[in-house]
Amino acid sequence: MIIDLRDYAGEFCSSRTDPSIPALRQCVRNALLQGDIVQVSRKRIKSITVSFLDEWLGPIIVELGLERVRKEVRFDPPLEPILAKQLERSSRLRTQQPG
Amino acid sequence: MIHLEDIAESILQGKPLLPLLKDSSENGIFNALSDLGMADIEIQAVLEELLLNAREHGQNKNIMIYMGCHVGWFFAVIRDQGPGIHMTLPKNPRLADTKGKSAAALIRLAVEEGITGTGTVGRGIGLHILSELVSSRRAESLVISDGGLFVQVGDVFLERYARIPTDGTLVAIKVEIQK
Repeated sequence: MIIDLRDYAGEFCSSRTDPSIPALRQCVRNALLQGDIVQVSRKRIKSITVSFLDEWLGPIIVELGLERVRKEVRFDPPLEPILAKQLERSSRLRTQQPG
Repeated sequence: MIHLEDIAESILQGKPLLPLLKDSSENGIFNALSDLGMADIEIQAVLEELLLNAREHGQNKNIMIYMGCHVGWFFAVIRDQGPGIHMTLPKNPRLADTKGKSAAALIRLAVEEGITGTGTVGRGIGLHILSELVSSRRAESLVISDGGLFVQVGDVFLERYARIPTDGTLVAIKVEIQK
């Protein structure tokens, strides 16, 4: 399955309150539960924030596990180190006592 | 060489050494970085996160973004005129140890992963990823809120009183331009 982020969230995937996030989350969750690999295209967006990633994929990481999301949700181009690290951070912050 | 604190103080004194962006939005940041030849996704992501902080914790009050380059270094400053970290952080009901801390110590606490004024799971990202960026590059950051000042150079941290206190929060970053 291919998701073009621009079609959902526009050029800037920025705020954690972006109205596109629930639909994006549902889309990825359904695909993973059906055994699909999700290809996320970032080619037509200008930026994505760690807050957006956390709000979008954080609940799925808690539900399905970090390794599964890392393996089955593939970004094109790949996430830069600070963004990629957010997946791990989302898992950690959402499964431990928050500060 | 211009020091980050000089840039921050020039802004607080109303004589900024960096140009003010006319558009203090995500698009404004993107265009300014492009104009400066700094098409750097990580810096864009960190600045946008700080902008989100300013909008939320700074109550979207008078957000100003300054950006520029000088002799091989990129500089950016995001300033809001909200209540400041010393007012927002103690509102987190899960943080019991904020009482009696100095303004600078509260900023240091806010830089840690997952520490937020909202107390909401998953939050507390903006200042922390700024710190990660500074650790991973030749870079410095500076945060002034109330009368406190917090500086990070690589993996070295410094807390002290600000020479010029501010209402709201000022966050500044200096990153070596990669050739």
